Amino acid sequence: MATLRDIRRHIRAIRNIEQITRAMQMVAAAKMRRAQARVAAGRPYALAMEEVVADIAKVGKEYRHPFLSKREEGPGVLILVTSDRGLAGSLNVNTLRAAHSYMLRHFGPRYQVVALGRKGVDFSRRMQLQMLHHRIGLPDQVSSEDIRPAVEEAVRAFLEGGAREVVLAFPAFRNLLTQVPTVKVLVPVPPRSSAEGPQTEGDYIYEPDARAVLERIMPAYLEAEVLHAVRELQASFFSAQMVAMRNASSAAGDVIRELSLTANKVRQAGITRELMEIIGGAEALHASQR
Amino acid sequence: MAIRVRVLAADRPLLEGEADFLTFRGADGDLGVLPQHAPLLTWLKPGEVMVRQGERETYLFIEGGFLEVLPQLVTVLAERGQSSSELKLEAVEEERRALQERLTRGGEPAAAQLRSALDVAEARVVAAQLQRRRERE
Repeated sequence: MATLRDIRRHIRAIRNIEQITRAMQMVAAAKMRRAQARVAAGRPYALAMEEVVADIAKVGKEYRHPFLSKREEGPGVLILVTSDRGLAGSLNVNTLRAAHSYMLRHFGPRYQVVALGRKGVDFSRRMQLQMLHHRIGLPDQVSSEDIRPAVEEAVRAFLEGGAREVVLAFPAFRNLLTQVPTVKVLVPVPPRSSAEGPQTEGDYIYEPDARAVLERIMPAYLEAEVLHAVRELQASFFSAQMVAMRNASSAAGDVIRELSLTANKVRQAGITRELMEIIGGAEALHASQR
Repeated sequence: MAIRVRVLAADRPLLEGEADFLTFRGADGDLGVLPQHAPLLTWLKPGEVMVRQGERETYLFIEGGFLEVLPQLVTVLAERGQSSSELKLEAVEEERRALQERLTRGGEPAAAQLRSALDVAEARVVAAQLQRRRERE
């Protein structure tokens, strides 16, 4: 059986861990609130961009941008949005699994990756995937400039590299407890059902002309999607980390309680033993004096 | 008869509501939009967007973006923007001066980026001047 001193040392160690997990929980909670506000504020822009591009896919006839046509062949490009750090439960694992299974199904094991976040970089190395671009250490307050190089690589892979699809994977933020691994095709632009979108017959009037406008808006659409995905990731990450750290703190508390109980039992047993010895000794002395 | 309008920046919505008349700085020049306008798609130069509803006119400054006009809905996608009333003329003039200085000194690695930043700064100065004139009236 462990000595009292061992148990006490164990308790101290776990108490230290608990302090760290509690601190991380509070930091994550503060960052989570800010990230959550940013994801909510940025969502209308990303959704509207999707709508506009889908409208173009539906009614635009004057100039068909390459992003609007399906391709039969070519490699797949995965834009993989993960966190740099762990300690966030199964957040990244779930995203990687969903993304990988989609890519395997459609493109086999040799697809290309644009990795934003260390977990995705590590994964791509492990799976020996071709990485077109990677970026670690995106700031909490991410802007279009931060993700532009990644988007440019993806655009190049499609326009010049003959890729068949550009796919985006990230954990979508629903609420504190729910983050949904999301895999969506960005290019070719997915068509909308006929009920949605502009109820017009004709094409747009383009200024200055269809080609010039589309060549500008398509990269901007990718940027909007990727920027929003990073914001979704950040809100998801801090939520998942906060929950994971809360669980860790409460598990540490449980262990400490159990160990304290054992420590007290051991201490009590020691006291009892000592008492027995004293009483035994006293009895013996008493008997010898009689 | 009004038209639904939304002006959205990448980090926050700037305006959502209804309008009777709107003006923009389009790729081919300034343009005005009334309800039931034909579908139109263009990019926007850095500058002001005006939204008139009844007697009220709202001015927003955007650093360029895209405009989609549908008969019932106008969408402005601007990467960055703010209300014109937040522009301080002295501050934006100072920003423009600093950019000009850096560009004339040369040796900057990203000169093209700097030039487009200067374009935005110029537009911001114009918007701030317009805003000041409106405030004096």
